[in-house]
Amino acid sequence: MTNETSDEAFAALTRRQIDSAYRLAWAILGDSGDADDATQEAFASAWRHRRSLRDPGRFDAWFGRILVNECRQRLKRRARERIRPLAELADPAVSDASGHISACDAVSRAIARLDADHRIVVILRYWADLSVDEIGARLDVPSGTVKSRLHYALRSMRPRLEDAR
Amino acid sequence: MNDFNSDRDLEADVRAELRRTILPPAAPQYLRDRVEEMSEQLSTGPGRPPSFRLWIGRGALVLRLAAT
Repeated sequence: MTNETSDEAFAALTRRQIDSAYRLAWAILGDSGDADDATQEAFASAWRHRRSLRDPGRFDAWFGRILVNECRQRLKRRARERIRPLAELADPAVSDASGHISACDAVSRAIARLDADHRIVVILRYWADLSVDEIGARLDVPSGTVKSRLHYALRSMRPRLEDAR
Repeated sequence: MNDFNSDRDLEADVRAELRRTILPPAAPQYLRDRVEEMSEQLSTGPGRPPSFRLWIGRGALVLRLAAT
């Protein structure tokens, strides 16, 4: 297979992923501007490292790892810079015509108070419906670590959700 | 106040609420266009064009307009 053919096949794989990649980035980051940037940077990174993809059949998991890592870095950068604290991510301002996170929603607010690692596992598990093993592969951590993060995240969310009931 | 009976109840509640409240839009057309441009630039050229980074991000349109 020539490089040109490989790149063509790779381009087709990336095109197929644009919507799902953008939606996941949006779900994790809660902001369309950041989702735009994260998605573009993930595709750029995927192109730069495309030779490391040995099996095109594993593109989804391979690209998913790149995308989630990009989102994670952005969440951590935000928290570090304290420009937009995680606690404000899902608060009132987030709203547009095609999708929104309600300000009065207890789950959204509880998730917004989680740090980057815990927020990501919650979104991947309960919104994207990935298995614990799939999440481990996306984050490059053992399944036990994923379970532990989920347990911690739910434990810290529980009081807020119970109060809202 | 009504506590969750089990972790399973809590998980079910979180799952249902996330799906109800997180409703991301489809990728905007300009994002598709940029990813397409990226594919063309990186798959046909011998390497990464020097100006490539300028086309990424929310400032891309401004940079693009300034360059024309």
